[in-house]
Amino acid sequence: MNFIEVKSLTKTFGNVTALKNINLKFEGNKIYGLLGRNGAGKTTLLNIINNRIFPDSGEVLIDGVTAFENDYAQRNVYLMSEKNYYPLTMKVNNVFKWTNEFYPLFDMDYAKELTAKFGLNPAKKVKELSTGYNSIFKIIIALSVNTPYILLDEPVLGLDANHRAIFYKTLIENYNANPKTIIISTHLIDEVANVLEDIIIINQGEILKNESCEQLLTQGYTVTGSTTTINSFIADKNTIGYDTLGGLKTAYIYGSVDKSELPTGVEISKLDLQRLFIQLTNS
Amino acid sequence: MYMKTAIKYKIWENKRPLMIYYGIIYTILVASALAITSADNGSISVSGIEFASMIFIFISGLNYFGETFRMFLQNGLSRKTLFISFVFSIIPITAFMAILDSINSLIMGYITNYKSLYLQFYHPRYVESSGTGLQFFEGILWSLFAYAMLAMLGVFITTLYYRMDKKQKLVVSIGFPLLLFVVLPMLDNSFTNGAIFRGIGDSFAFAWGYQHGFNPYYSMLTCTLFFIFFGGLAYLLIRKAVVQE
Amino acid sequence: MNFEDERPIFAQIAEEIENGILSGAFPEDSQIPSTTEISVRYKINPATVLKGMNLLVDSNIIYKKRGIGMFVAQDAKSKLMQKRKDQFYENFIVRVIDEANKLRLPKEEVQYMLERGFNR
Repeated sequence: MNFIEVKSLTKTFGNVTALKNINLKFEGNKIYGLLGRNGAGKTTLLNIINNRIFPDSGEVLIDGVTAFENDYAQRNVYLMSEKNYYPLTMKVNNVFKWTNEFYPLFDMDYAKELTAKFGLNPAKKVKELSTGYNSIFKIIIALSVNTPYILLDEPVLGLDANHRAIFYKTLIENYNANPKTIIISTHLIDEVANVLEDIIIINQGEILKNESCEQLLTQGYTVTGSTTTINSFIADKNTIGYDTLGGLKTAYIYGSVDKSELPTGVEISKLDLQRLFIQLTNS
Repeated sequence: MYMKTAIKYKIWENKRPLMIYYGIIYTILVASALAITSADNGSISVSGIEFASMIFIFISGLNYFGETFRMFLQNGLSRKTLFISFVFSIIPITAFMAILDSINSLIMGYITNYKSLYLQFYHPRYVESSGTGLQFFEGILWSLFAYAMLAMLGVFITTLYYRMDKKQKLVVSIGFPLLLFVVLPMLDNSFTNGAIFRGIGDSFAFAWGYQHGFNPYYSMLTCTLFFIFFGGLAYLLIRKAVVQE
Repeated sequence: MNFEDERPIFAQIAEEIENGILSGAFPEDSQIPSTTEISVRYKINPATVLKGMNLLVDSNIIYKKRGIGMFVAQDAKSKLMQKRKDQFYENFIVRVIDEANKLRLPKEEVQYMLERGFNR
């Protein structure tokens, strides 16, 4: 049973419902994209999986056993969170040392190699790191910790373009060498789209889409043409949004489109993941 | 397996503050020993270094929770493991301090007219017997129990404040001292004619073993009961604690 | 309509490898880059790359040597040539004629235009 199973998870904060009866399965050795707008419930979900907060109801099973208050189940998970959880006055070196104590499969040599690759100074204290290097420091731990599941919450926060390129490359190298389940929650969808195998879109605490990236991408289209033609064309279609420019109308369609039934004067093109995401979560 | 690592971490965390603390203590002890032996007229005296240790331990207890809680959650350790590691790191740390303080007291007692806090409390017990061995041993035990209880009191207070929201914190921070130092004395004065404070004094004397020939084992039992009491409350508070983002 | 440019990534990967074979960069019986190499080079999920590779395995363009890697099949180049010729007809000739019909261009004029194109 190599998967994380999320069963009927509900979580409220005061009178805000962060997660509404969520059911999910994260299978072994797959890269997932967990996408959602700010406040959609991504971090809440990850925090519950990692036993940082408790749900109101529902459960999370890691390889078949409960994730809550279970040191052994949590040995299989590492959550790199946007917020820092390490003692501020601890040196990066010491964080590595202690991570090695808590996760015996932590690869210290690899961590040192990545530290050099990203240009991180391991003698610095956690509080002395810039936003970018704070992310890098946590990325390095996540990639070196060798747990079967790594959860990355906004991993590229504050990283410049060069560091982001190193990150994606290292991530793919790491995944090829040591396949594992990677769950990436990010706002920079374009950059990460090709890395993802499955996509989970969370919107206002509910699962909007949960399918393979490829499957998802075959279903998003834009059609552009005169307002009247477009209106009649989209009448029987699942339209997820539209823009108008004078008499020209662009409609965003979710579902399959038969090319042959396309009226003349209508342009059709596919939506990339980022634009599809924006249209799906635009409410 | 992870429990051992967790305890090791807690002890490692306390190493530096302990070294700094004893650095200061030894500076004071050496300086005062020099001053006293050279002055030679008994005008200067130093005693009861354990009191400083008690304050140090209490403050350490107050700092025991927050940072470690986040660190342990980041490393996938449960709240239960966190709490047990608290108990099993407090005991060796306070034992170490109790032994060191007692040795220091013994040495200082030879050089100067130094008197340990323990002896200040329980001196009558040792007037007739001259057994410094027993006195030394019981001094260590007494310090250990008192230190451990204070550490757990600190843990309890810090977890209580961690779990409370702003309003609750305000109520407790103002209400508790108000109750203890204003309401209770007023009540005692106007209705019970001092019976409340007499009762408190008597129970202290009883709990400290003063009523039974200055028996330190009474206070050790009292400290144990309070250690369990504060620990139990702290555990209940930690069990459902969540990170505050 | 530009469906062709927006095909799934795995199809683009397959085409890249085909281009390598057609250009002679990957001769027959030579080993092609591994899934890992391609995946790291283009920062693409290896499952996607594998899907592209399998497309070529299924059409016998490449074959798998267990434990070693993927190799170009014996007649891969000629097979690809034939395939691309078929695609050329489908993707270009058929469309040219469709468009010509829309514009009511007679067959002779299209033939003349083709001639002109060759003599350009």
